Amino acid sequence: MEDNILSQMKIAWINEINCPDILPFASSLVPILLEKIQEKQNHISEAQTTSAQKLEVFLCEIEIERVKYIIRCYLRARLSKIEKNFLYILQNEEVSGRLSTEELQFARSYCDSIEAHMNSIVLDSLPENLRSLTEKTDQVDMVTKPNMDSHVFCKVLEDIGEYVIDEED
Amino acid sequence: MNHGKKAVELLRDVHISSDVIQPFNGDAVRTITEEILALNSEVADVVENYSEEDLESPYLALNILVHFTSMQRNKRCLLAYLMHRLQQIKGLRWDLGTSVIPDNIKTNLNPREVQFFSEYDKMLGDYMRSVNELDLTMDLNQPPKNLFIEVRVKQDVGALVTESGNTINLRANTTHFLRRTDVEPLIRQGVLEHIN
Repeated sequence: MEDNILSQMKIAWINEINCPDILPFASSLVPILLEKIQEKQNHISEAQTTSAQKLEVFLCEIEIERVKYIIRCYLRARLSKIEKNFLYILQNEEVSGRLSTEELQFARSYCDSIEAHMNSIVLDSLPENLRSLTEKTDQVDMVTKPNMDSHVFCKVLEDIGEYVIDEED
Repeated sequence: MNHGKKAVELLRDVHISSDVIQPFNGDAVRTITEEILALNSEVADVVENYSEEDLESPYLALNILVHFTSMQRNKRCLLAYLMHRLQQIKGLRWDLGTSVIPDNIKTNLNPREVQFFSEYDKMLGDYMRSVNELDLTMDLNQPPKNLFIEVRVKQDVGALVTESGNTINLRANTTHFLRRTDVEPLIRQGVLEHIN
């Protein structure tokens, strides 16, 4: 596998897992990796003969499985954030712009399903002023947002020098 | 007037039995919805029978506020109950890795919830298809270390066709050395056991 693309994918994966907010989709990485995996798998199914080749095939397959693991983890982390914050994401153009086309489609279907479910079991029987899923009062906002105040670990890549973290502290 | 006691009861029951999906408590949902409507008609009565000036008195304003806040709280509790069950239902799809709900769980679900499961299954399937059929429900816990693993069959499953095209007969108490990708779903369903 291209070392560069794979290392970038690992970085994207770790960032996505650790960040509470959804990050821009790695559109320059995921499709290419998926394509390469497909190529390698086609290559493998055509070459299954000598025992030397068998070892090569075996190593290739393990590598493919491990790359697939990273991609699966990455996509799952994103789907989980989409499900958690679907109203926030769909209401906010800047955030929904970070999703891939298919993720956006998923978010919309998910929103429709949840709304239909809540409406049919509860909300439709309620008085009109209580039918909303996006009420906002001083105590509570029905739209869940990612917690941007949660703590994360960071690794410093280049010397930056002094940096003021929180002016209020 | 109960003002939310039933709603708290409903959520307390959920809190006690967290993992397994309990039977859908349609009665509680109905009772709480009726309470909301009852409170609403109380508020409507007050608003009808008093002039706008009178309604500004703290006595009446608070009356309306208390009723309305109770209505909102009941609504939130109901939505929380439904949402919690939906999370558990989604969890089923991820844990089992299949599109079929086991019968013993299905009896505990409201038909609308069963419909949600199939809608969720469909949207998940569409998404997975769009990423080259990558099954996202595999490898949930750790990076794969081996291509092949040893498994023991716990229940008779019949024949399994592996990726390489071979057919293996999975009879109870037999052990096999198989490709991880072929057997992982069966391990998750509890039919096979991974031997270390």
